[in-house]
Amino acid sequence: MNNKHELTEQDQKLLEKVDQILNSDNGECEMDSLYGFCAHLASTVPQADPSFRQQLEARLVAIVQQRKPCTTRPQYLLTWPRKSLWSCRPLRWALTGSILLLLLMGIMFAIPQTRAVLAAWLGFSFEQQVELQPLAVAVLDHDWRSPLVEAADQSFEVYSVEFPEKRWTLIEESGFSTPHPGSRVVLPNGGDFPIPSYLPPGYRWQDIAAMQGNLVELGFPSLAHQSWAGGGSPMPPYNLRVDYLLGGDREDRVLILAQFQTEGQQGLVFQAFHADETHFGLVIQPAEKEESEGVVFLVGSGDLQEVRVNTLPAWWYFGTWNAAGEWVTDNTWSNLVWEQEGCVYHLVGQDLPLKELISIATSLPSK
Amino acid sequence: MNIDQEKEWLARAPEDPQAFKRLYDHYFPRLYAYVSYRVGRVQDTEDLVAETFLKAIEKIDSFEWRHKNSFAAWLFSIARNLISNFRRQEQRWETVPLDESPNLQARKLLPEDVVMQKEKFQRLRKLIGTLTPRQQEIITLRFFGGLRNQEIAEILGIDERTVAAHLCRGLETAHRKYINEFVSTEERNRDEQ
Repeated sequence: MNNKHELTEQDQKLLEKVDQILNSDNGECEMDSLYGFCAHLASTVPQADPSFRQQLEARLVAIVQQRKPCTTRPQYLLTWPRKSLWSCRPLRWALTGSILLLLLMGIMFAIPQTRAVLAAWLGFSFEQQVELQPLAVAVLDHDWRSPLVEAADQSFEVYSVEFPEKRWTLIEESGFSTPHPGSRVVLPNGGDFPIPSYLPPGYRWQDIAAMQGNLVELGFPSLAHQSWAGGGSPMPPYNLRVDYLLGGDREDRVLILAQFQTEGQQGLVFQAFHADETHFGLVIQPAEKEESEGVVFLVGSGDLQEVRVNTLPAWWYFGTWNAAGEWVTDNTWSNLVWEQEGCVYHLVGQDLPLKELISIATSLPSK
Repeated sequence: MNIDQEKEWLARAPEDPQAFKRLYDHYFPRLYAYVSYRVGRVQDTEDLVAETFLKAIEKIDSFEWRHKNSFAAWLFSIARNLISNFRRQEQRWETVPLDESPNLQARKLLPEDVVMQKEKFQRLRKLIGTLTPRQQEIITLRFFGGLRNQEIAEILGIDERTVAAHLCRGLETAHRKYINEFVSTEERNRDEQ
């Protein structure tokens, strides 16, 4: 025998005899034989004191009875599948796999970046979005103090937008919907907004702020009589619609594309301002020169360069009006203005070079 | 008790005292006999048997059926672990005084007095104590725990054939020693008389 655990015929016979001895009471053999010794061993069984056996039984039964009121039906239901269904290995794997799949899908649905991909893979889509959740608020909020406040003999109106400072966090963690690059978003006032398909690396379009439709229909009525200007000539009637596409990066640097829709000669001048990091808008004034046409932007001193967006003429300049009504000429605010398909666009970004502004502008989807 | 009965009682045991009593009646004598041979002293045996059943009640919801005799293997595994801990503390195969040794069942034995029965138990226990630890474990589980080789293999985590081989070698060794030490002594005593 090479293997010490190999069983000989004699071993097999011994094992059968042991089975026979233990399963029956056939233990009457001579003690000098191996089988007799086995029978002797099997008959030498220690026996518990009956009182101990009964006391232990009573103690254990009491424990079972104590458990009984606590063993409510839900516990039974939990126990049952573990001992029947759960003990079936293929079913256990299937259940585990299903739970993991559902968990994974839940996580993917919770993450905005993967939600659309997962939905497309599953063969369904989310409901069509008519209105975006308002990130930008306080339209027509006049808390920005224009330098024209002290000009008692001038008319002006202020259109301002305030937006949250931590926009990226709101979008990433709270699941705010965002405009899809390359699409055209239908606005509540009946128009639409082309969303540039290009964005600088790390940036994202975040929201759209639209001028209220009823104001447009009413011709954007003058607010001069109740403004801080304290007087001056009423604003001439005009029909203007301004909508803002708000974007930014993880550091919440601002990227804004404003779309101006105006009809014919309005005789208006616009001052685009950034009062602070979360507050921007327009000061609208009557044009001083009768020859002013369309949208006229009032900018401070500095370089104003003519560039091209596709084949269209455009103007590029640095700077903005600040909260104090001063023209800031540093290179933080980079502006690009051009006209395309009947609308005037004003693109402004923080710390963005001209090349990036041009790339954004040229990626506007055409009608 | 067949396997279906055992499964039914086991399913009901956590909340049905009667079902638990049936399991207790079935396993108590085997468990007691096995533990007695492993520890020797009645008080220690009773403590360990009680602790085994208490742990079994506590963990009975977590028991899973793997094969038809797996509950016996599970129950004796609890006992074996408790005995291992106990003997680790004791550090030796203790010789137990007669008055602290258990009584034996009267099955197929002539009605001898209590002292003679206890001496017989001590003699066999001492004999088993001379075997290898694995042989001791297998013989006590097989003869007093009433477990089959397959169940013993599961408890010890070894092959069933290995269990059978250890059982055969252990019995042969024990028998040989029994003849040499005890039978020869008895014959000499008879001759002297």
